[in-house]
Amino acid sequence: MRKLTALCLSLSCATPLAADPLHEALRRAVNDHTIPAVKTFDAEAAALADVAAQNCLPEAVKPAYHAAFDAWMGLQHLHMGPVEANGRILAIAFWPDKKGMTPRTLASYIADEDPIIEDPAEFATASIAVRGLFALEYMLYDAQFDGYEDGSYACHLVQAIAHDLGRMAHEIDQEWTMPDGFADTLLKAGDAAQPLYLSETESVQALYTMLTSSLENTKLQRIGRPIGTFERPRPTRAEARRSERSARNVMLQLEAARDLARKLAPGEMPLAEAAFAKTIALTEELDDPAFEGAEDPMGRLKIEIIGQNIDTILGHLANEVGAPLGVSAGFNASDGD
Amino acid sequence: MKRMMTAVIAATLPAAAFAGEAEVVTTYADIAHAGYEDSLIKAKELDAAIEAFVAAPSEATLAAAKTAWIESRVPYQQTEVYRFGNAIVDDWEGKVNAWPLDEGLIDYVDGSYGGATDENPLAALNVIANPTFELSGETVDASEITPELLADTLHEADEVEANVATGYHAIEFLLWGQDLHGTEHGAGERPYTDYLTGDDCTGGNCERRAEYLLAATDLLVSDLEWITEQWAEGGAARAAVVDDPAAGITAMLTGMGSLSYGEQAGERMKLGLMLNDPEEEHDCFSDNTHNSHFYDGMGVHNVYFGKYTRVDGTQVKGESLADLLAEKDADLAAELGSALDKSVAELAEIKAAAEAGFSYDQMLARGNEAGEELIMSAVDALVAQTREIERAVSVLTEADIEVEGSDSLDNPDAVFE
Repeated sequence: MRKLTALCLSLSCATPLAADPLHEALRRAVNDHTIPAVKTFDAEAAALADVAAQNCLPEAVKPAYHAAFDAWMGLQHLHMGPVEANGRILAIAFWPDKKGMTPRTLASYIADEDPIIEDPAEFATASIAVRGLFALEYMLYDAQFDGYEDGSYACHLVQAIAHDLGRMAHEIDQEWTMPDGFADTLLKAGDAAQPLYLSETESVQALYTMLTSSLENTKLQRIGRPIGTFERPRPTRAEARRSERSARNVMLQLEAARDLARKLAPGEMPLAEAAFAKTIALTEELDDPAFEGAEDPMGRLKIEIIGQNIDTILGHLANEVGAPLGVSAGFNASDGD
Repeated sequence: MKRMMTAVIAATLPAAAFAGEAEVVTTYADIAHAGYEDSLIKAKELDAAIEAFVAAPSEATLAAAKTAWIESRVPYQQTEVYRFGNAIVDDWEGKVNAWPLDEGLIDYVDGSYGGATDENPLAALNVIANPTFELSGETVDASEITPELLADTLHEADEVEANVATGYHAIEFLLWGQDLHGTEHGAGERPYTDYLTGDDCTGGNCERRAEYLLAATDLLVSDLEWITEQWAEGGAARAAVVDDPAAGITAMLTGMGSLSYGEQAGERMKLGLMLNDPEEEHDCFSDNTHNSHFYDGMGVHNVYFGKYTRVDGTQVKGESLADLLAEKDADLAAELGSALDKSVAELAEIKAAAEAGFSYDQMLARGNEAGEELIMSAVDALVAQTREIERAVSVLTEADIEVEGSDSLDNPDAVFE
């Protein structure tokens, strides 16, 4: 770790003033955005685990699956700290699955009745293809898997997946909010017990990177994959299409990004607000939950336009949030996709 | 597979003119040229070894071709750091190093491979066994397997990135075959008899297989010739960085950071580990993944320290990014240097274990704690060095760094027609 002396040359290392906009942005983003996000996901994933333990059958588990997925959409853009640690983000949401590993691996576990599901600590080391929300989606919604009976191996597998999600969500919450946890790592920056970000500027830059890269991912992946090209649209590549969450995930991601942007923005962000409102409205009006409309040129165009509006949002965020804070996006985990 | 994203650093403010910037980007271009030229030299050796193998298939000639392939990867992997940040390289590299691939497109596969998938209707096409086939509703004449057929028709056919018909990994598959050992020790075991003619031929269609292998190797050589020219005096890739040294510096940092974090630490290493999937190995047929990871790390190290050891042992060196950064912030320059040293050391530990017989696919096995520790230590080191690179970006570029995918920037049609 670098010596703090080198950092204290920067303004952000000076004693924070009450009116320091960067300092205030950091406090708002961490306390009013990230902490509620990890708490909500913890609560909903715990509820999912409880429901599945009571009754593993698809119709019983589905509402809790949706609630947990909704909560995840409020957190998944924070690809940092405890969300990233131990590969949790991949274990919670392994998508896109370009090689169809999820159904293949689930089928092989079920055929072999792999005993790994009996011990939660062991299951935590299982392939991410049989863990998390997307494995659960296959179990609950795909005709190849959803006909299982109470007490069967598949039933116990569903319970194991739900329990494992609850475990990870709780670990994220604890590691984020405990004293000297990740919230403090962000807030205290160079003064943290184990500094990761050396100044408040670096903490804010990290959060700003999450904001912009999550929107870019929504455009490139959630929208870009199903629309493919004009000649070759790919509706079966839509995210969570089996549970008809493709459009909902886009909308919830936009809402999560908007909330983070509002917390980070040092002042008003009228153009970004308008762009968010328009893009969210377009998504709501789509009436195409699984992006099946991507197959047809008009339907595809409507989805494509949502992506174009995300570009507009990004431009306004740079001007209304990034520039006034003096930060810009850094490297993100999607470089290389 | 991935047609990877380029990270682009868009300078929104005029960068300050540093003493030595021009020399630093010249070193960068010189190393690129040497690296691609070395790749070309080794690809020509590979081509010669493959011609000798196909002319007289035997255990010995197959082994010689495999050795040439392994050697050819050493310089090439050290150039991967040039992909991100240099649009010319990023637009080109999918032809030579695309990965992962649905190898059933090319040749016979084991029954466990499965057939066409939701993602890829051509996943089990087997062009070697099929002189004609349907592609997007049209009949393709593949009676003769030519470089043009591979490059223009088969590669990324049906707009599916896993349809990798050309480059190092297609050649690797044709030399080694599928690795059916799972997470046990062992690579692909294609017999040399897959290339014998007449009744001795195994696997069927031996002549077409040989035709494919020769065509793919010819293409590799010509593609490497092209990129080497781009980095020579007067070449477009060199001009892009030396004519605008500030842009060159951002290209250097972008390449280092994007390869380290999103690509190597994330997509190539962590994802494969968490899937326990040996097919997620970068060089999965040959079990050469430990080397491909190590030389990727070396490439980042080379760019920062302005020094590259060529395949003939000579060195290309000059004024470096490390020197430039040290002038502005000596502490940061030292921290970044140590972070890169640490990553190379961690990657060397993986390489050492693999070369001693604990192969990379064994490291990926479920519950293999030693393997997980080796891989995750390297991942953590790569992530840590990325943070130092970000700090160097803010010191050296005084610019907005904006990292985006090349699919949107370089080829908007890929996303939005």
